Amino acid sequence: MCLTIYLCMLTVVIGTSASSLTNRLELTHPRQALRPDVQAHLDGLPSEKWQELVSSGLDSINRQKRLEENLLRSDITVRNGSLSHVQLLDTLPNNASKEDSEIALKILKSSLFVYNTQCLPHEIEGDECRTYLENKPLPEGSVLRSECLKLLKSKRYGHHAYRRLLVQHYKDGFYEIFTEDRLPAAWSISMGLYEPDNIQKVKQARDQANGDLNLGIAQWAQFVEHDLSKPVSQSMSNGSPIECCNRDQNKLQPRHNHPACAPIISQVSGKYGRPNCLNYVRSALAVGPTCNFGGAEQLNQATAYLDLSQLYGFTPVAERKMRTFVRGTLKSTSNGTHLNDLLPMTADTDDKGHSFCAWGASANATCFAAGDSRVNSNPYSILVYTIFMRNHNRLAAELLQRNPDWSDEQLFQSAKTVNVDIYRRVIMREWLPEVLGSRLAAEVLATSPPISRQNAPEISNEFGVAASRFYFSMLPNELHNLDKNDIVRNKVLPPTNLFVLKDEIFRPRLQYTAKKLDEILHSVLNQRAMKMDSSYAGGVVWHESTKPTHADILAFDVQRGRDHGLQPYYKYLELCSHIKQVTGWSDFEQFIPKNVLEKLKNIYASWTDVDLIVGGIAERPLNGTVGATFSCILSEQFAKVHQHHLQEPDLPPWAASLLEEYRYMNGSKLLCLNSELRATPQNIFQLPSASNLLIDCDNVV
Amino acid sequence: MTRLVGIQLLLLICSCLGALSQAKSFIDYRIDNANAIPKDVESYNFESCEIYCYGDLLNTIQMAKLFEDSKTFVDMKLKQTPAKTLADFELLMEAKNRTPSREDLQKFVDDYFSPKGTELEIWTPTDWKANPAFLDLISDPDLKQWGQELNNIWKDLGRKMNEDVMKNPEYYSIIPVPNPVIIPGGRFIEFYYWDSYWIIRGLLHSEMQDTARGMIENFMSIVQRIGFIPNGGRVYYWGRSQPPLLTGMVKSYVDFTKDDLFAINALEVLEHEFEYFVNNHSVQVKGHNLAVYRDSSTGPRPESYREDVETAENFDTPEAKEDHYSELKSAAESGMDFSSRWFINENGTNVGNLSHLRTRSIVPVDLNAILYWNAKLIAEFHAKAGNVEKMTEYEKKAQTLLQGIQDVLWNEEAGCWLDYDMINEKPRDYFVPSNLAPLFVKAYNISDTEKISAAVLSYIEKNKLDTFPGGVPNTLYHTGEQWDFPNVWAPMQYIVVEGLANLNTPAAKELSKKWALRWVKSNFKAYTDSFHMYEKYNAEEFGGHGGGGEYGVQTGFGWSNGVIIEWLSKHGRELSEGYVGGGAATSRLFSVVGVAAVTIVAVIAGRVLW
Repeated sequence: MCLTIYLCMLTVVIGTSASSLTNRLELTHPRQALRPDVQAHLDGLPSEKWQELVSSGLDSINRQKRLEENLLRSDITVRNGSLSHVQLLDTLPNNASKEDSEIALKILKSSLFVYNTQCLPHEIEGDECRTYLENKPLPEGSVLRSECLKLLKSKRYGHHAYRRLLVQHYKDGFYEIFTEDRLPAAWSISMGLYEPDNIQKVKQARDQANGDLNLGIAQWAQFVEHDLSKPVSQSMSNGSPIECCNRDQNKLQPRHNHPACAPIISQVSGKYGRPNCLNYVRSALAVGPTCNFGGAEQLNQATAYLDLSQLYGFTPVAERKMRTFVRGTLKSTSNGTHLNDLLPMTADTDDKGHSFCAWGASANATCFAAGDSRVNSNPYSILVYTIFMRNHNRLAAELLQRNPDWSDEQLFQSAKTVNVDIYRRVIMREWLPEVLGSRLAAEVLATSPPISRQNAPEISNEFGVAASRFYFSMLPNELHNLDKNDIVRNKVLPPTNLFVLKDEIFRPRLQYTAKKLDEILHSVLNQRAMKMDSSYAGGVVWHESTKPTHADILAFDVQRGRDHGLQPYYKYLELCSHIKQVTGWSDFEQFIPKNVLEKLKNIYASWTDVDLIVGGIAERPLNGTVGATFSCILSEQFAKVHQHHLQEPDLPPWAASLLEEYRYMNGSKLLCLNSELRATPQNIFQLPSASNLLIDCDNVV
Repeated sequence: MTRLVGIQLLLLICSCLGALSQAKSFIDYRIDNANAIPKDVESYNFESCEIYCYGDLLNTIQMAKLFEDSKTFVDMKLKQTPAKTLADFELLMEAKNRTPSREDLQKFVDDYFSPKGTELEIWTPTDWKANPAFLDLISDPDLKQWGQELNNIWKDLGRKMNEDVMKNPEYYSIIPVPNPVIIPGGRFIEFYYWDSYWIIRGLLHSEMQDTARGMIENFMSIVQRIGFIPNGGRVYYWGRSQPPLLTGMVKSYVDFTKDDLFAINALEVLEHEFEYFVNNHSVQVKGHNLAVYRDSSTGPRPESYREDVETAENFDTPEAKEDHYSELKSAAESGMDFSSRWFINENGTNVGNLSHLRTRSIVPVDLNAILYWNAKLIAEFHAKAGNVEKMTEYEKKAQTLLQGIQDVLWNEEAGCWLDYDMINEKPRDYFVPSNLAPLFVKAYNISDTEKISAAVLSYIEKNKLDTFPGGVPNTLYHTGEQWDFPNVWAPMQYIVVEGLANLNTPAAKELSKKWALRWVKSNFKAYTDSFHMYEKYNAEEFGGHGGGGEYGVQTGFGWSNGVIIEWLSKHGRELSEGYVGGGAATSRLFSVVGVAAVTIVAVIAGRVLW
C-alpha cells in the first residue's frame, strides 16, 4: 500500500510540474488523491466521535500546563542575556500570535487524535489522513470551532498562516519533524559545509571578478525579510518563552523537555565529550483560512506586502508606540538636526529592553526600538531602520512646512505613505534586479493585477524561512573601516574594523552616533559582499566542539525548514526547473558547482534528503545573486507582493499627486538625504566604479 | 544449591559498616510500627560498595559530571582493589588541594577504571528455540514474523557473567550470580528485579525454561546471601528492592512446567523474602498493618548521583536532604521512578515536582496486592507440599492483608482501589494503573465480582481511559516524569488487561481483549517504524514511544517483549487485520520491512561509497 501511495504521489507530482511551466511566476502544487474507501471510513464516524476526538485534543493541551508549571518552577525558561535570548528576539511572538497559535495547536492536537485513533490503526497514512481532514470542518457547536471562527472574523493584524508551495513534509504527515534517524543533524550539515575563514577570504579575493555587489544587497535583503516574514517561537500557555538547553548549552534532562522543543544538538567527540545544544523552539502555528482539521501551518507575524511594518509596527498598537503624536513624526533619539537622529531607545517606548536586546542585567546598555524586535539584529539593520525613520521625519517636516494647518495624523499618514512608496520603489526597481537579474525582475513588475479581488495571498513558507534567507553567506565577519578616499582604487583592505559581526548581534555594543552610522553606511557601500554560496562566515555559524558562544544560523535555518515541514530541495527543483523528475545526484550538477555537490554527497546519505535551504544556497547564481530554485521562489513571491500592491485601494487624488511629487526619489537620493555622506553610488547595491558613478549628495535636494 | 555456597565463599567480608550503621539509624527514624524489624544490614557485604555506593570518590567523580549518563561511571570496572583505589584517590585529592580539575578526574578514571559492561558477556541462551510453538498460534503472517523476531531478541539480551567476576567480585559493581540472565536492554545492562517477572513469562512462552529457572535461582541465591532482592544486579542498589515478584515468577514457572517440586524447594527462600519485605516496609494505617515502599540506604542514588544532589538543593538541612534522597530511592523501589503518584504537596494534592516526593507516606495499592498474592502463593505451595500448618499460617497472613486492602484502599465512591496518603489521612483519587492491581492478583472477595466489575468499568469510563490510541497512560498528569502521562508501560498494561480478564464479566473481558489487541498493534506499528521495542510507549500515539524522566527512551526491551510474546500467543488467533475493523487494511509487514531494509542498505551503501 505504501508503494501505491508513493507511486500515486509521484505521478501527481510529475503531472503538475510539467503543466506548471506555462507560467513560471505561478506555481501550482500537486494535491494528494483520496481513496474512496478512506473517504467512506472517515465519513462514517458519528458526530459524537468527532466531538470526543476534539475533547481529547483539548485535554492533551491542558495536561501540558502541569509540565509548564514544573519547568518554570525549575527555572527552565529563557534567561536574559543568554544565547537563547538572542534567538528568541529573532522570533519573538506578540500576544495576538500566541492566541492564534494556541487555537491552531488545539486544532492540530485534535487532528492528531483523529490520525492516531482513526487513521493509523486502519492503515491510513498521514498524508492521506491529513488530506481528508483538511476538508473536514471542526464539529458544529464545539468550543474550539467557535474560538476558531471568532479568530477568523477578527482583524488579524500581521498574523496569518504561511502559504505552502508544496504540501507539508512531516514524518506523520501532520507535524512530526524528521530527525537524525532519517536525516543528518542540522548542526552537522552546517559543520560539513563550513570552510575556515582564511580559505573563504582567499576564495573571495579570487572571486572578485564575479561581481561588484556591495554589502547593501545583504543588508536590504534582511530588511525585506523583516518586512515580509516573521516566524515566531511557540510559548508556554502563560506566555513564558521556552528553553530547550541547559545553562551550559548541553541537553536538558528529558523531564525538562517541552513538547515544542527541537533543540539543535551537536555530535559528541571523545569519551568525555558531551553534545552541545542550541535552543530551537518549534514555530508558532496559525489557524488556516478555514476552521477545518488539518496539519501544522506556521504563523507569519508580518504582513504580506511591503509596508515598512518592521519600522512602524505590525499592529496599530505597536505603531502607536513608535509615534510622537506631534507634527506627524516618529519617535527618535534626537541629536539636533534630523540627520543626527538615532532610533528611539527602548526606554522611550515603555519596553524594559528584554524584547529588543539580549542584554542581561545591564539596564543602561544601548538598545534601539522599532516595530520589530529584529531591529537590533546587527549594525546593518540598525542603520537601515534609522534611514527610514529619518526619512519619515524629514518628509513630515517638509509636509508641515507646505501645509502648516495639517494635523499630526494627516502629517503622519502622508509621510508614511510617501516613505513606503519610496521604499517599495527601491526594493522592486533597484534591489530586486540585483537579486533576480533584471529580466526576471522585470517580469515580476509586469505581473498583471489579479482578476478577482480575492484575499491577498500570504507569504509562502518556502520564501519565509528558506529563500528569503539567502543573504547570510554574503555577510563577512567584520565590516572594515573603508577610508573615504581610498576605496576601489587601492584594493588592499584597511587594517581597522568598524565592528565584528558576532559581537553585535542583538547586543548593540558600538557607541552609536550619527557619525558612526555614516561610517557604517559608507563602508557598506564600499565593501564587497561575499558570494552567495554554501559557506558562511565563522561569526554566524559555530563549527567548534567547544561550548558555543554564538548561534549557528545555517543549522538554525535547516532545523526551521524541517520544523515547518518544507519538502526537500529536489521537489522544489522539480517544481521550478525544466527537469520533470529528479532521479539522482547527477541531476543537481547543472545547478550546483561540483565541489559543493561533493560536499553535499558527503553530508547526505541520499539526494532526496537535501534540505531546501542547503540546496538553495549551494546553487550557482543564475542572473542575479541567487540560483535557479531560490530565483523561482523569490520571483513567485515578489510577483504576489507586487499584485498585492496593485490591488490596494486607490488613493485619494491629493495623496496620489503627493506620491507623484516624490517619484524622483531613489536609493542613492534616499541615502544622501538621510545621512551626511558626501556622495553615494548611483546603484546603491553595487560598488562604486566607472560604470556606477558616485553622485554628489550636495546636488540632491 | 552447592553452586550458591560457592558463590558465597567468593564474597569478601566487608567494611561498609560505617555507612550502614548510619543507614540503620535512619530507618529507625522512619519506622513507626512496632512490628517492623530492622534489616539485616551486616549481611550486605560487598566490598566494592566502598567505591560504588557512597563516599568521597563517588561524590567527587559524579559531581564532576564526566559522563552524560551518571550510570556510566558506577558500571565501570576497577583496575585496582577498592582499598588501593581509595588510597590513591585520597593522594590525588591531597595533591590537588581537594579541588581536582575535570581533567585530573578524567585521568584518574582512565587510570583506575576500565569501560563499563565488561563483566557481562553476550550469551546465546542454550535453550533458545528457533520456532517455539506459540508462533503457530498466530494467524496473521506479519505478526507471526514479528513474533519470530521478538523471539530472536532473547539472543541479543542474554548475558553471562565473566569468570573474573566470580574470582574478583570486589573489582565490579555487579552482584555476582551463578546463572546467565536476560537483561532489559539499553542502559540497563544488568538484570532487574521486577522486570524479570515479564521477561521470565516471555521466556516461558518461548520455551526457554532453563534460562527462566536460572534467573529465578539467581534471585533465590541473592535472598540467601543478603536477605532481599535489590532493585537490580548492582551493589549500588544497596538499600532498595522493587515490587516483590519473585514468588510470582516461581508461580509462573510452575504453571508452565508443572514442576511443583521446584516451588516446594523454593518455599524457604520465598518465605524469607516475604517476611523480610513485610518487616522492613510495614506501616500501621487505620488499625491495619500494610506496606509502603521504603529504602534503607544513605545518600543520593549512586547511578543518578548528580541529578539527586541537584533536586536536593531545594532543601536546606542535611537531614532534609537525606530525607529527600530516601523519598527518591523509595520511589525507585516502587519501580515507578518517578511519578506524580508519589507527590504530596502542602495542599495534599499531587501537584508538584520531585521535591514533593513523599513515597514513604503513601500506602500503595499494588505493593499490598502483591504481598497478598505472595502470601496466597506461599500458602498454595505449602498446600502442594502438604504443610497444612504453614498453609494455614500464610492463608491467614493473606486474609489479614486482604482486610487491610479492603478497609483502607478500596474506595466505594471512586469505584476503585486508591493509594492512601498517610500525611493527610485520605485516599489519593488519581488514576494509576496500579489502582487495578487487586484485580490482577484477585485481592478481592470473589463474591463481589459483579459489583467490582461495574464499579471499575465506570471508573475507567470516568477517567476516559479508553480514548487513548497508544494504551492506558500511567497517570493523567503530564509532569515530565517518566511514570506520568503520556507514558505507557508494558507491565502496567499487563496488570490492567489481565486484571480485567480475571474479573471474567462479559464487559470486563471485552475491554480487556480490546486493550490487549490495541497494545499489540500499537507496539507492532512502533516496531515496523523503527525496528525497536521500547521501554515505554506513548498513550497519545498509535505506535509512538515515550519520553521524559532523567534519561532518554531505551530500546530492547525485556518486559515489553515479554508482554507482547504472551499476548501474541494468547490472542494470536483473533489478531487478524479484521478484528479491530479497518476498511482499507491490506498492508503487510513484509512490504514495510522490505522498503525499510532497502533504505537501510542504500544508506549503508551511500556511507561506504563516500
